Amino acid sequence: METLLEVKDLSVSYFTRRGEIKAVDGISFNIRRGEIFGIAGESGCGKSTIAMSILRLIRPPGRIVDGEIIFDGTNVLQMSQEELRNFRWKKVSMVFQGAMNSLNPVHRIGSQIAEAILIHDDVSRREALNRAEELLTLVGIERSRLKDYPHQLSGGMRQRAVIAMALALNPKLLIADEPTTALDVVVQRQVLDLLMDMKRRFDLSLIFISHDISTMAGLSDRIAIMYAGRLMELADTKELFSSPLHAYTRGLIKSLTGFVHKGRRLWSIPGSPPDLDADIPGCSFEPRCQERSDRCSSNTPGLMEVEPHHYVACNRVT
Amino acid sequence: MTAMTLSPPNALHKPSMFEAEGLKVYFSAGRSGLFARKYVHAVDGVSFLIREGEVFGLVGESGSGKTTIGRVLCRLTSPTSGTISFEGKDITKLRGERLKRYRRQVQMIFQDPYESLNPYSTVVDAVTFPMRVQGLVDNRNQARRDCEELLDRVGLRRHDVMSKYPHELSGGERQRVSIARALAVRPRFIVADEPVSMLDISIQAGILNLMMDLKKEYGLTYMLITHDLRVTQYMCDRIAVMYLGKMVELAPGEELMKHQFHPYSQLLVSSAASFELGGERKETWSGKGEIPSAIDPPSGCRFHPRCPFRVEECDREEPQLRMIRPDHYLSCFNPQ
Repeated sequence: METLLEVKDLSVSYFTRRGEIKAVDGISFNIRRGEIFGIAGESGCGKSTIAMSILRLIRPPGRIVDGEIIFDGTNVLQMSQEELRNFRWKKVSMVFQGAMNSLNPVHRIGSQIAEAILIHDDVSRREALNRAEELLTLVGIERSRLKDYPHQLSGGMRQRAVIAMALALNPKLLIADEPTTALDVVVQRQVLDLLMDMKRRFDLSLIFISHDISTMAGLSDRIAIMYAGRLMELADTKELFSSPLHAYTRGLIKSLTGFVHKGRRLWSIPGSPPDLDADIPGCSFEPRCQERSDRCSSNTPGLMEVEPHHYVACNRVT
Repeated sequence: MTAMTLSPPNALHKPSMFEAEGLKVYFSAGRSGLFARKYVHAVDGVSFLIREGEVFGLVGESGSGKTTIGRVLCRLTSPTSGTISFEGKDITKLRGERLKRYRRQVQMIFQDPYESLNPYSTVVDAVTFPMRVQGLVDNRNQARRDCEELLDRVGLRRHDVMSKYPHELSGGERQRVSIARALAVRPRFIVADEPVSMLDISIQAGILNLMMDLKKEYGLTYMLITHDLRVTQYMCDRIAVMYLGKMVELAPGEELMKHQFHPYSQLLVSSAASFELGGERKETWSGKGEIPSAIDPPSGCRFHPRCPFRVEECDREEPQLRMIRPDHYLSCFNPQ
């Protein structure tokens, strides 16, 4: 399948008083046209930083220190401000974590979306409003709610409005960062269904970021597992769940399955993620890994393709 | 609905700790005309009992009234009508010293420990405050020692966290501090309102394990409020499903996860099941629409506007919660 976005050796650091924090440490992956690509990992593993990097939204004290991000043949990291304006929202748009609270409380939702269209597109206000109306209907918000203020909408509806806004300029890639985390199950399901529907309708590619691999399971074509700023495993969703190769991936899956046995002790991966302000000489998961060997503390495993399309970064496997 | 129908069917069950009957909680929501007042019908006629030593789960979407029920049991909110008895004594009218004594027995843990802990209080202050208010300690040294013990017990290293402020702790650590604070007055009943929904799954396991350990050790009874069925399934002996201020189904946990008779319970379980590990998505009806406003709730069964199985009487009559199997209660005219 054709590649839409290529991330090569991306490293992003935050420079704080405590020193350099390597939030993303040499990560590479491709997004294919029309696929749903999941990025999973615990808080602080760098998944949101990757999303922000793709849109060049990293602000000081953060900085992209190395790597390339190629979208449709162009390196995003070398775009001028003018080119960026044409890239953000028009080519790649994003639904941020907690986005339903990011709508402007003093503007009606219809005109907020029209505003987003007017900033990026050369159309009349009338046309923009018509498009906003069309989009809102498409995401399942009735025409009568167009003139509502955000506080008059439920959480689920606000999330729909934010998705409509993200789709306003026909992007090719939509990044959804924890799009359902604060929502109720039934609404979660509705929002995920909506994203799937929009993906088909707009011929979108989707990056779906979450800490919950179970939400991702029924949705993503491929899943990347991140840990402490590094990519640990990348595979087709089915393959990842049926034959996970990295001990961390296996740990994540095992910690989920425990919930079905009432009263039996829940298992979780012992220990906690490392501080990222110190250099980690070997595998970053080594201190918590039950299958570590001597060389794990000194040798950083690279991401290797061990089965067709199944990549893993583990000393034991490669 | 009388409390009788909800009583344990046989003597094998433990005695009940709470009995709530016809519980209603309305909040004022301004006026809708010169004389007519508008009310949010947060909880609208709910009866249930909670048995000593059980984990009683309340599930449902935001706005279904589950948090309000928890707050009423802790007397953080007063009911509009109905009765709640705690070990046979009505608690809805308690005031002053007697209310304070009651609150020593019931405590609450909130969803967001960052919001429920005072940002200007250190951990030791937060944990010892309830002890001092309740007069359980004679002096600061004793309070400090008790606090150290509690912190050990909830899996925190006392020397690392005692003098820290909430913002210096991780989400999981903060939730452990809230648990320690709740335990500080040696309660017998704890309402846990979405205790893990803000946390990573790896951290969730640790908190839930801790809650189960503490339950055994201190002989606690829990009410667990959550929209996450994964957590209810793991923790709860019995589960009650709430919709728009009403209890629509109540059954033993394992049974409810397998067989739901109310269409809304089915919607909840199937929505969660569609995320199953590596599983194909099951095509079920996805419950078009959202939970309506509780200011002007639908007539009859409150779920009828969204229900694909509704029959004639659904918009006219209110279904009552009735026992359909031992220990399984349902409020529906056309069970599935």
